[in-house]
Amino acid sequence: MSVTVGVLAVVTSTLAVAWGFGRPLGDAVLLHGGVLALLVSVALRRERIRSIEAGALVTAVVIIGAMFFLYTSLGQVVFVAIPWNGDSALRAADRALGLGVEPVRAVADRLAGAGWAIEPLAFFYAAFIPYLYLSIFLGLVGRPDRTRAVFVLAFALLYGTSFMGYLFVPARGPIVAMDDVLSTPLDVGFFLDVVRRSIDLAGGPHGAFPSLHIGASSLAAIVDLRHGDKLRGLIYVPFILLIAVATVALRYHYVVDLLAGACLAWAAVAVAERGVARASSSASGGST
Amino acid sequence: MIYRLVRWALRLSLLGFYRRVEIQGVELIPETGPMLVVANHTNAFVDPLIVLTGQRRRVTLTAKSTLARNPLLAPVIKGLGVVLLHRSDDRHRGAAPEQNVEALAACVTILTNGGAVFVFPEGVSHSDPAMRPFKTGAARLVSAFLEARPDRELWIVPVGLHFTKKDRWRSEALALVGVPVQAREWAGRQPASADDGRIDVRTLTEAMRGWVEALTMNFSSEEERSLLSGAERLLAYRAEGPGPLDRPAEWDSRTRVDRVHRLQRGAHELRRRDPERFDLLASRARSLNRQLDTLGVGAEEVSLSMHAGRAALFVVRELEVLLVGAPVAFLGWGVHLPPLSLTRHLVARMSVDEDHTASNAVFLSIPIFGAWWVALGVLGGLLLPAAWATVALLTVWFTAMVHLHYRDRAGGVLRRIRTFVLWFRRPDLRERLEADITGWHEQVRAAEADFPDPPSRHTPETR
Repeated sequence: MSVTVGVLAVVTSTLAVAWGFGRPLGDAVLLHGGVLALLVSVALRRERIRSIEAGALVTAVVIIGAMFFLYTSLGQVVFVAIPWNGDSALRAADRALGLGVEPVRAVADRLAGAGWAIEPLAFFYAAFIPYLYLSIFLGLVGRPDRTRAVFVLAFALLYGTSFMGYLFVPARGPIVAMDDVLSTPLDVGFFLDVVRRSIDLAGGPHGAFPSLHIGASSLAAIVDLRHGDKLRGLIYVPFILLIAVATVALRYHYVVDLLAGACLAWAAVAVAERGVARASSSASGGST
Repeated sequence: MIYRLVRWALRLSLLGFYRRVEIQGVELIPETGPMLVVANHTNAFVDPLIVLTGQRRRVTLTAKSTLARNPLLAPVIKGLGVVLLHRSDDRHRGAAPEQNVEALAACVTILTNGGAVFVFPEGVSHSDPAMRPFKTGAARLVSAFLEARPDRELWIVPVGLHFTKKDRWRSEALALVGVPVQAREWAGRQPASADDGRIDVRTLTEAMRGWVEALTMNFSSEEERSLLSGAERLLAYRAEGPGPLDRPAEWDSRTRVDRVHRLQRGAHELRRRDPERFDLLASRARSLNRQLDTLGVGAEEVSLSMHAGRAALFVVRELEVLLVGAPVAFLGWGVHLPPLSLTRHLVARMSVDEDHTASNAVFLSIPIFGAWWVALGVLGGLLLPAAWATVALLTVWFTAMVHLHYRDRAGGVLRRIRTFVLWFRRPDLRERLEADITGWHEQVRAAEADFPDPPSRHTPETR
């Protein structure tokens, strides 16, 4: 909960500072401030919420809800609030990663003669996140308390750090930044159209760095592989690979975004495991 | 390097046969220094592999010399650096017991260099209800080491090996590690060794047997095994019902072993002091176990939750995993069907008893699946660019792993659904069984209160 409050506080204060410098962000500051106040009030009643039967689940839902709010709101405000753009730096990092070759461009060239592949990839891109969240919810309900605590903390850490990337390395991704060099247009079918419209609803392409598609799916897989449900964890692996290909093929991410997402997921799980272990050992130490 | 490669291949193969291979108490194994591992022997060459592949430390195995003649085992024996022991019983099969002097010297050298040696003091793998008498070889090895290196200590690590059904594919295997014993310190406490400073190998052999006995279940007869295993199964019944299927059920072997030992002592005491009461409890335990066997359910499944909401959530959760995982799992099954069928066929033909099924499966799997993967790799290399062929081969491996987990999970789900339907249709039967089991528990507790548990032979204090 404190991670979520902290992230929301950073976002709100950044927006407030930008508003102070004359950016048209008055409504955004009010909205984020309101959500922050709501979250703080929930955090202050944390002990009371914990004491009810489904308290842990309520906390998890509040955290996930707050993260979703930020995910959709940042796209509307970040390019107004922050005076720089991270696309050129990410593109340079991608070029360095590909030893001079831009992976997004290479994939686009490869797909130029295989337009049929776009629609299945768009289907995966569109369907995976709803599936992932349904799967995460089902997993949360059935998990032991400790594993659930690790998952929720890791989830909050991953989204929190990713939102810092969205906020301070604002980037729209190759679909906008490389529009001039990606000469072959994508064949827009039903699923790609759905993807594009849903992204436009969240403020248009934004938040390229890091990739939360990869981060969230990697997080779910890592937690499941390390904490019991191995089959579910293994099943996620091909999805992660397909989503990685889809995000690059549909031009929403640089490869460096995917790597950052996966690394952040690993780090978030490691930190969460230690955090939960420390919290439980101090709790048991206090009771004896 | 070769040792690690062989160990990795064996681990992979072991996990193909058993769905769960665990070492409980692995943290007790000393990380460095001379160490002698002694264990019971019930599952041929699989027994040492559980310890060998389940922890990081390099362990040198000992095995009967005749195994080296097996063309399947010979490369593994060489790769793992196994020390061959010549049993006098195997003279007619070419064993030369006089060579054991060299084998003993080789083991002492390994220990002197700070290594670890694994010995089965029973000398033979078997399915008897109890451990066989220990041979003195392990104790002689300890004695030889302590004489050769008076300045060094030697850890003796007792291990109890357990299998849910040792010859059944996808069953479970577990090694239970006991508290290591310092050999020199132990010898110093023995009156027999005080005169000439030498260990009495018979006393040490008996002590070793006691340490391993404390970690294993040993019964005086098949009848006692059937009765007490069944009673232990009933005692494992929990009112909260079976655990979820998405993570391995807790398998606390130490608790199970302790429970069986307590039952043994209690049964012995009760039979002696109140035979009628013993007969009543025993016959009720047998009858309850028969009913559970007939219904095909475990004792813990009797208390399966029948709550509609929980059942719906279970169905949704499991359906999600099984539906989404099905394509990959079926691909894994299809791709590996030929080597799997061949392995199963050969194992069925070669295994003369339940002691060798798992060993044959583990050792046959390595060349058969290895050859299959090489063939697929070559085929992929001919049909696809190198990078894609590598991806395809990795995918094949991945699908095999998913298939194994999927198969286990689907089996658990089907069993759970079957039990749910059974209790849904026959709630009276479930209630009666639940009442009978809890009633039996109360009778056992009452008997325990009337005839308190005498102290165990192998409590840590007696070591």
